[in-house]
Amino acid sequence: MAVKKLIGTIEYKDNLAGNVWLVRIKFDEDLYFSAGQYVSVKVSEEGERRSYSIASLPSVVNGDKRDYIDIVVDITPMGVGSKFFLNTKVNEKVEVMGFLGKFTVDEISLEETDTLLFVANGTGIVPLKPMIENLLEVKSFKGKVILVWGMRKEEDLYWTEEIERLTRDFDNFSFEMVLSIPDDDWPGNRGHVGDVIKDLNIKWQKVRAYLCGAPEMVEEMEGLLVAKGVDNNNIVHEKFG
Amino acid sequence: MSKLLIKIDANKCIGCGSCESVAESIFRVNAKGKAEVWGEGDDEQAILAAQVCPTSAIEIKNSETGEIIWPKSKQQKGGDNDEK
Repeated sequence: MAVKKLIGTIEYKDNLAGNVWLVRIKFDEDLYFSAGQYVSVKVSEEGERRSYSIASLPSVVNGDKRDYIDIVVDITPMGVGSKFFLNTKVNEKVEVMGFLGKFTVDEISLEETDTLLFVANGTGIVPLKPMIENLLEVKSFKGKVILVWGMRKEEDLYWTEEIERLTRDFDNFSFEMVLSIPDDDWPGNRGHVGDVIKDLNIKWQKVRAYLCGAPEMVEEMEGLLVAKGVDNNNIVHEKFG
Repeated sequence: MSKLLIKIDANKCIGCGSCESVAESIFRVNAKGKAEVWGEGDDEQAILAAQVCPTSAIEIKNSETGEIIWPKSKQQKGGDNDEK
């Protein structure tokens, strides 16, 4: 689908956790894009735009028509994008440029891959979630799919129930949540994503990895994965600050 | 001939290809995974490509007057990245 300007309507805004909001934008047409892509939203009259990964799945061929996108807005920085989405009300119009980015699952590579490893920190989970859902629920990918997601505190978490449901529905999917500042009673992984990844027992030569999050994390994980034996060409990343 | 002078900050560019998607006759992502200017095209498309860049890596000037067309102000260039 060629990049074009779309006018959408804010359908709802939902507070996922803390400063993180999910915003659903509805359009007058079904949307065709690739899971993992993002949109650029016009957030000021001066033409300033901010980029947001799409958290929802695109329209698919089996009749499941979708005319909306979900985006996730972290208002912590309180920049022009944060203020725009805080001030924009349900039913108001927004101008969206879509669909952008190459951070998507390359279908040809799937044939040569045993394991898809998805690694995120913070809101880096946003493009990874639909990529994983698309692989498991739409593409019926049978190889191993592993998600490692790092966050700071338990109160920051969202979507964990939905992701846990995937682990129940798909035997080939596993999920590791890691907290860097957990409460004493946190039963899960503690530390950083690298602490979990280094202990994974997988055939590293057959891994294709998708990394999304802070540049420091992405660079560190690239180094770790290459040291483990992952081919550099099989490491795909999206960095954002 | 375009009056625009386009500068790409390679340190900021993450090679996402959004500029290429918006204005493919002007921008492309090279073998090093960085955006570069390789041709000419519609000025409006070039400015739009700069506006959609998620890391504000593209600066556009009027080559005759030196006026910075995008970003509009220094404040708009990075700083408050509240996206993605």
